[in-house]
Amino acid sequence: MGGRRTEFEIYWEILVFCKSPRSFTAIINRCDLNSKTGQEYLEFLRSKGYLSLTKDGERSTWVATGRAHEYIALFTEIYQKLFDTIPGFKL
Amino acid sequence: MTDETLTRFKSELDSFFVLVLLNMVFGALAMAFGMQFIIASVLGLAGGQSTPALRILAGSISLVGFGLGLSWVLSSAKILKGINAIRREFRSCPAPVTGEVLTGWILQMTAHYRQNKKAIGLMTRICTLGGCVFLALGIINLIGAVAVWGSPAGILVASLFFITTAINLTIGIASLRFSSYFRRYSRAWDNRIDEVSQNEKALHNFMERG
Repeated sequence: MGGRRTEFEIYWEILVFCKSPRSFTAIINRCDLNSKTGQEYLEFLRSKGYLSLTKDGERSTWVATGRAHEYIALFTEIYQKLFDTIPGFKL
Repeated sequence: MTDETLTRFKSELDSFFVLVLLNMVFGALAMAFGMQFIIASVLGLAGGQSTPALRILAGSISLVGFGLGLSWVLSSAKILKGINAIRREFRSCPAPVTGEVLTGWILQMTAHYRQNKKAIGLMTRICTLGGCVFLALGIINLIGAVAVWGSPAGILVASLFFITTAINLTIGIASLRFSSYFRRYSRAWDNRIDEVSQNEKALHNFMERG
């Protein structure tokens, strides 16, 4: 997913994608990020306890924690409300 | 909440897709008729018509119409590309649609609007301007029809002028209508973007807590 997104939208995308364990490369490809910003986002989410990093030998994977589900739920509610409370466009 | 939201989202996505598609068709028509009227005006001048000033004016306005039509088609194509990608994803998704999938699409629409806000604004202005140009052309051709009505060329030439007038007025009115639809779409999305900005504080607080 590309386009102009806010940091909170990118957090949401990362957390939803990481409901299953994901590699760093898979995350930055899916969320359309470069390595540098991708690393910054992941580190931020880990520092806040929304993501955890698991190392299995050579392979490292990121996975969303229980706290991430609360953020996902709040975000989902806010964005769906955009279509519920604000008069939309119809021909 | 998801079902109702999904219905609203689908309705809006389809409406906007149809609007941009129709707009593109009318842009192409504007381009085609603009070119046709330029040629007709030049031929009219060469044929020594009785109203050369009117022909020169119609030719100049047609040239502007052609240019507007071109930028009209290009802007529509840009907007359509993004909306079509979202629509394709929407149509290929098997039911039932989860809240997260729907939120992902809403997010894509939000990002699409942010990215194309300027293009949509330009589209609105082009439609308004294009509509005025074609209405002006319609009026000029109507004057032309009235001018030749009593001449020896007779009813045939006047009828051609009337047909041209009808085409011009149709494109003009449709364009003005499209511009008002684009304005409505922008208003709805500007309100949503404002709402997102207001809620960023809540998301920030949530992120930062404990």
